[in-house]
Amino acid sequence: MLAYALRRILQAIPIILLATVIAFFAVTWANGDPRARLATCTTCDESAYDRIVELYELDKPTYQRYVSWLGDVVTGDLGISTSQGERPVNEIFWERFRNTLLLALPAFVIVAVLSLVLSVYQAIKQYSFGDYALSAFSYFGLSMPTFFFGLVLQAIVIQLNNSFGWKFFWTQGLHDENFKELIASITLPVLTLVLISVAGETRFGRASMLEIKNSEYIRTARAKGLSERRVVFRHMLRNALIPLVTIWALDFAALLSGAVITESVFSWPGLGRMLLDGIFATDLDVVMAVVTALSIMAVLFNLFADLLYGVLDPRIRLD
Amino acid sequence: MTTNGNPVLRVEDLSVAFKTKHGYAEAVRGLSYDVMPGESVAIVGESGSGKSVNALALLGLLPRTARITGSALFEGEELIGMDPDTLRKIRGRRISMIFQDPMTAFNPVFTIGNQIAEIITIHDSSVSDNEATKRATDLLDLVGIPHPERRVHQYPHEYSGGMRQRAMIAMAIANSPTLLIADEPTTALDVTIQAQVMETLAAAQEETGAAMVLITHDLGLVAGVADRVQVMYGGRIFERAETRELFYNPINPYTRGLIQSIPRLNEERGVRLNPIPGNPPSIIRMPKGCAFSSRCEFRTQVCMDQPAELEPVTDGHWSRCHNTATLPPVDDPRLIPGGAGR
Ligand SMILES: Nc1ncnc2c1ncn2[C@@H]1O[C@H](COP(=O)(O)OP(=O)(O)OP(=O)(O)O)[C@@H](O)[C@H]1O
Ligand SMILES: [Mg+2]
Repeated sequence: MLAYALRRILQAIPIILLATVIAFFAVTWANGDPRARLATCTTCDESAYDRIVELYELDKPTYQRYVSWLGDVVTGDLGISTSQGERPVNEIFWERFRNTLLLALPAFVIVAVLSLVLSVYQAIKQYSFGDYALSAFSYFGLSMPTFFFGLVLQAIVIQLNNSFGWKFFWTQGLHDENFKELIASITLPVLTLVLISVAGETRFGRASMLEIKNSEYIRTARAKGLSERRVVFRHMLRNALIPLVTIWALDFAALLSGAVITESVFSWPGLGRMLLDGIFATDLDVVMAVVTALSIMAVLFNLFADLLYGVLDPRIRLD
Repeated sequence: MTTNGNPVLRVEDLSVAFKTKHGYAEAVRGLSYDVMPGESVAIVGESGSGKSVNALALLGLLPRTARITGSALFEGEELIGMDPDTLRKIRGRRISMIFQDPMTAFNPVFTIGNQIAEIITIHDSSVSDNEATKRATDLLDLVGIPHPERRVHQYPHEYSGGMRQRAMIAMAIANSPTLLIADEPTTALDVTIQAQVMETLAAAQEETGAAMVLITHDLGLVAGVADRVQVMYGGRIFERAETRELFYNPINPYTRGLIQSIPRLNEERGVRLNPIPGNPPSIIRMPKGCAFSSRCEFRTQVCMDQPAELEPVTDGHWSRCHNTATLPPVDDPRLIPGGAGR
């Protein structure tokens, strides 16, 4: 399995490189020639112009700049932000990554537990009132645009805060002075992330649980005289986990990449916002850092999902 | 075989109906039969005749929406309407079931040994996991799985179809049940291994002394195994007799048709098989008269008008037919099973 993992990682390197090339050239071209804009700067003097051109190697062709960017990244230097006071991108990246984790981790745990519990419940109580109610809720979650749900949540909480004269939750930004404030500020964005993921995963989980429920080996398990509890929690659940775990791994990768919309609605200083801000400010090194991180995470979690699949399903052999 | 003593299983007037768009449809209609200790009774019939439904009803494995009436006494205890927990303790311990498709009947994510051990420990908590695995190994050995100490730790997908069905048999006899129900145990297998698996099944039955209900649509398969045969059609028994008697002297037109459709290995070339023309009736559109009347070459007006009763013809030989007295005698040599056992 180790050999398999190594081979997969090696195979992924060209994919990651391709993603960075595309991003690099796209941002550069969208930018136009930065020197033209620099030239219109009335307050800059000649020496500043030269310094910036040299610093960003603006007189070199794009591919040369890409190569030197790549060289820096490989040695762990993500470059310098042009839009955030020439701060090193490394510093910005890790700070934003931490903030994204603050949302992604709790959202992921809640989504995983909820989707598992709800899919098992819905499959076992198929066609019951609870099943219909949860299905309706799932379709609601699936059809609701993220930004709309986020805004509705905000509106409700603002109303609540105002009418009780007491702040329940933050509706904007990250407040991490103490644990209580932190919880108050992650609640709404986490809730938004949970709603949009859990709906889809529960539909998926319910379908695979139903298939398992009607399978021959479940009938065998009953014919053996196992209790209903054991049939569900040992024989059904173990099989239902196989497809769910894969979905979870991919979903976690998506959450880690920063939920651009949710982070925007709640002014959350995470990776998604970092990417968006970087694009608007045409801040090349910032955009490149996020894009590279995203493609690496996508590759790693896909691999992780496949490895888990191999562990959970004895029929799958990874080699 | 002795037939004195009390039956292991006494089914009386068992009916099972499923809810359909057109109201309840009866898949099993007034079924009655006995199974004596150690005896093998075959239930034979075409697809849809209610063979599996009958077995699943006994074990309480039908969906809750199925309407089950009548009685099934197992060692004196009433199974129909039994409290689910009590019935659960009988399943897998005193009555075991072997299903048709060994490919899908084992849980793919647990080892074979694990699944056999489970049926032991679940019914006897004093057995340790190690002991249970040891017994699973012995059971695999008993049903002829080579290298059982290695095979016991393998997953179902590592077994061939025939081996899986042997493992299924091993699992079924793990708790020495008094009744084995085998539902088409070889239908999903290659013809070449069907006979081997049947032998294993017979040996396993011998080993445990269990009675057996063997469900199959292949009359040819029962010749060497069953003591008695009951032929089912449209949810009812159409003929019942000792196995030899049934093959040598089939009375019911449906049974005659079934026997004629058994392929023979020693048949002269060019002689065609004679499957019964037409299809069995659907349970939602059962004819008013005899269920077989539309396909029967001997039918008369009365067959279309009213259902026939199951009546004794000679000692221990019963048939459900209005025209028993006027049917031509059986002298067709084709009806005598030659290589029928294969
Ligand atoms: N759960 C169910 N709901 C509705 N109808 C059912 C159900 N199970 C079985 N039936 C119907 O009952 C009838 C008898 O089915 P059964 O499975 O007993 O046939 P069988 O004799 O075992 O045939 P086969 O050789 O195909 O296994 C069929 O018409 C089938 O469609
Ligand atoms: Mg069947």
